[in-house]
Amino acid sequence: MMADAPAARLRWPALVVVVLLVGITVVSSVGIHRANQSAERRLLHERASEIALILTDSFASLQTQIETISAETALNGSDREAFLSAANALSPGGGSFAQPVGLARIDTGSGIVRFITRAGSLPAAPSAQAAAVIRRALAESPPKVTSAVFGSGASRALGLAYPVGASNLVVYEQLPLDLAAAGSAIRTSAPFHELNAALYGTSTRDPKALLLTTNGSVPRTGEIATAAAPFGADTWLVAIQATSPLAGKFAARAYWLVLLGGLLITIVLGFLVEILLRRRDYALALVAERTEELQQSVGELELAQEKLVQTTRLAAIGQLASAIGHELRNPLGVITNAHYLLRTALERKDGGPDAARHLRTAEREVGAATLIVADLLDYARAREPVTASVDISDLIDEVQTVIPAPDDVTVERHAASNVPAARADRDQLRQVLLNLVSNAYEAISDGGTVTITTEAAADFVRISVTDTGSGMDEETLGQLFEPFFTRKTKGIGLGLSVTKRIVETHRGTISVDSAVGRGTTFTIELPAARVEVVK
Amino acid sequence: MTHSVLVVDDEYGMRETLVDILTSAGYVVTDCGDGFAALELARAQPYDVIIMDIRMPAMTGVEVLQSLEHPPPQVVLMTGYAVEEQLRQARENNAFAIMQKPFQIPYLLRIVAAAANSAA
Repeated sequence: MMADAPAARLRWPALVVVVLLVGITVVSSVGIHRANQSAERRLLHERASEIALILTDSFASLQTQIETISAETALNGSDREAFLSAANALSPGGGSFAQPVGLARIDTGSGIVRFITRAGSLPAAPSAQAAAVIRRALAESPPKVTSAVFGSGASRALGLAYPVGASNLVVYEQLPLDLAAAGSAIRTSAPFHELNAALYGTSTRDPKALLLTTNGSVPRTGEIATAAAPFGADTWLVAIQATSPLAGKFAARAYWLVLLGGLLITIVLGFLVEILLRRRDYALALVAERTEELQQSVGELELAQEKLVQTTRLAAIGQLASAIGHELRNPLGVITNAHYLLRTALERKDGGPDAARHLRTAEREVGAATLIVADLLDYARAREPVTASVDISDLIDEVQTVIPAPDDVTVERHAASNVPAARADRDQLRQVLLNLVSNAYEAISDGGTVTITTEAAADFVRISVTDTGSGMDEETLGQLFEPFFTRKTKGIGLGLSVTKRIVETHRGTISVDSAVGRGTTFTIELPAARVEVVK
Repeated sequence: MTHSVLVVDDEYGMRETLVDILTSAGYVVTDCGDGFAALELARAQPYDVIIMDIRMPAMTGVEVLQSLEHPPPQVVLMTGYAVEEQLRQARENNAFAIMQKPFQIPYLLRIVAAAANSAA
């Protein structure tokens, strides 16, 4: 399946972790390896100096021996007898001295070297190399032992020379070199079990000058450390090589451990990160899925809400339409009736007084219909008030003229003396007062009193309309100012809604205080008109 | 013989014009403005026909219809806005007719005549 292929691949953060850890592991491993090599090299050089001292020390007795013979010879007359007696004195078991040693003289004029006397297996005449060592011994000042390795194969030998006093005589000793024997003796000693060392009788790693090796072979390849070993007048050289790591096998292999450990950790961490990433991806996918579901739900809810709002709006429109329709049917019905009566009266041609009455009825009903429409328009088309200074007392007079009180209602008016003019739109305020006063009249069913009070309150004019009618319960009070709310059989329930809105656009307030059976008081407060000084 | 008619409507204009129309059509007409008064009048004197608005304060036309004592007169109900529930109750209580305001007078007269005749 092609779709499965990407799942097998590492996600990039896991890949980064793996690459980073591999990098760190390799760098650490290489670093540790290098540090170890460096420590190894340092240890090897330190050991080289030690080994130089140890190896040259095994030749120190030879130096002492030849110096002693020289000193004894000089003390006893610097002649053949004195030399032989000195050499034999050093013979360990008494008798004649076993070492190949001789006394050489250098002719001051020709520089030719001859042996005056000799012991052991020393040749009758010195070889060219031996003569050179002997000459150099005479040239050293202060006197020092000179040395050289010469010959090849089984005849290889180490020549040593030391002058006798201030004469032209030199003590010469020539030792055959048995490499295998010398090496085996040293090899078993402690410093050499982990080292391969070689001692050269010169300052370079010249194979011809090789004095001894610790295991029969000369260090040639790999890490080799050398150290100078002073011997008499000459400088010998020690070369060593480690046969096993000097810092320990563990230290030498530590970098492998680091590499393997690091790679193991890399694999584990890489897997861990990959697993975490996959789980996170899964969680994110789940969240995305849930979010989408939620968004879908929200969308559906919004749609439902929209529908509900639409339905509510339609219901409100229906309510409005039916209220208006119902209200208009009454005056229309009466007008229809009046029209019929009028026509029959006119057809009779004697209906004079009746015709006039029917006309008045029709006119009155047209007025009622007009009022309904006006109420509706007032509600639907609110306009900003155009304010001026309005005398409240005058306006109340006018309202009382427009809607006279019913026969069984008494109207009382209380006006404080200091009531200022209101700052109001006269037509709108008239509408407000008409609504409040006609409501008060209608609240009284069986005779009562309507009291209209005006007074000043700070920067406001307060007008109260109180009736002694039936009052209202809590539920009615709660809905009182809502449009289309009415308890009357007539009217579309917009009066108080319009009243409240007009008062509020005047930056005034309206409040109601009512109790069932006690009556109702509506109170409005409107801003007072400022007294303007006209000059 | 002349038939007696009771007109019940809280709307003064409607009441006044109906009284005029029915009087000139030859009926003996009485009128009142609410349901309580109508019940009182109906108890005091039997009417052939009662023409009554449904929507009135305190007591609806349907409630008056339900409260009328036997033998009931023929009742014609008027409404500006027909509420389904009220129409159903009106039918159940044997209203003679239900008329939608505004109505044409000749139609009204035909209905009232039919009601009066069925009462007689």
